Amino acid sequence: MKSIKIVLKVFSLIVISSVLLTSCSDNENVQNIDEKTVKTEDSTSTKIQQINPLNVVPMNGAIFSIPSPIQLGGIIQKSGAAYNADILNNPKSYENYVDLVSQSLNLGVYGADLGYCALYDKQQESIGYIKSAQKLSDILGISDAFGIETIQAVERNLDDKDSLLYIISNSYRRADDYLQTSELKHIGALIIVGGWIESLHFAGILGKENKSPEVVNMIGMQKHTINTMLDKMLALYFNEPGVEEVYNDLNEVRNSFNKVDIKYEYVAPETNKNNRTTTLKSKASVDITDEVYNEIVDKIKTIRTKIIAI
Amino acid sequence: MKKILGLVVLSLIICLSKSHAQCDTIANFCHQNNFTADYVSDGQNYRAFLFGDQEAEFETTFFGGVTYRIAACTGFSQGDLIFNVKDINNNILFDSIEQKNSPYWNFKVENTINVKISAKLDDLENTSGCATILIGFKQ
Repeated sequence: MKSIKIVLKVFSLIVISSVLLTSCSDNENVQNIDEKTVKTEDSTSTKIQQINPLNVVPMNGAIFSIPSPIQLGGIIQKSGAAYNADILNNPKSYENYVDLVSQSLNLGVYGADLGYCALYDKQQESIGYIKSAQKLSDILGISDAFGIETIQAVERNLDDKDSLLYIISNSYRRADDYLQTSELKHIGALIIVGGWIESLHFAGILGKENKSPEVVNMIGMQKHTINTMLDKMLALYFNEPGVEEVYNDLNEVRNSFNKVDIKYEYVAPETNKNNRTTTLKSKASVDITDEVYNEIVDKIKTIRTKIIAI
Repeated sequence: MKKILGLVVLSLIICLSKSHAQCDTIANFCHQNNFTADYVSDGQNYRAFLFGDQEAEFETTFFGGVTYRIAACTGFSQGDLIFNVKDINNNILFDSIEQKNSPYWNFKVENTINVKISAKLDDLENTSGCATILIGFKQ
């Protein structure tokens, strides 16, 4: 009887361990995607999908992503706005940012400034900002993202704007990758917030100057972004010194964004399988009065002045 | 019985450690295999650890006049993560299942709109994994 119990225990042990280890293993055999089994042949591209909300997991704990400063800078440039060095932070100010919150926010600010300079082919200015970003990332313990290799790669590609933007974006992505898997997630959140504020600062000033509909539209569409930034990012880190103050400042901006109205109209998309591209044709219109626009821009300017203050 | 429990716990720890270690490197694998130099990353990695038929979701703004690339990975094989793009009213604008689980797709955006991006594991391949989505835009 005793030997049967032992056999059963050993058998249970093998079965349970096998099930657990098998269930968590990933398929390490690289397969050609064309050979994969496709689960459905249904090609209806405009069906309504019902999802059980309890089974949906928010990515990065957030429900709305924050647009890249380089992308926002690109929209500003395409609007025809001229380069303006006066709207950027001083690259030498990094030495005076002594607390973790201002260092993180200003690393985001420098990322946006760097992207802005690169977009306008300002090579020497780009070098200055990448060096400041490197200094701050060293202090924050994320020097791998802005190491000497990154600086050298930037210097080698100063004449190639596309490569330069690729290197800068990838550096910020690697920093984000590291911060998300460490105990420093709040630093990652603050870097993103700093970059977003700096981009809106550019857009606000340039939008006021030339009233470009693209830029005004871009600012209005940030209504959803700020909700995620506050409720899904900063609100998680109130236990970290200084974060609640940033939240409260941005909450003031949210009050103004709540006055923006966004209307949406669905138009069927078109897919071209040969070049793996779908053209999205739907439309959204932003209704924002001059008064609300100026209110948002002024509040962003106040926060930005506070962030870059020495 | 204690030994069995101990081994079960040990197996779970190994399982989770392996998964999280992979989460660290999947984004780089995904970037290297699906992005060319003409697509600039938005600087963020969107990820969630999924079990079974769980679905990861986030929203983003696609700006008019921009062509985006979305890449989706879990593990180190291409095409193991199914993803779709919906509008704010849940109309499906794109589903990778219909494109042979393509690990990436391009989106030419005519007008600025908000979209929802969802991802789930291809259950023919995995029962759990780190879902990673990357977004790039064309210069």
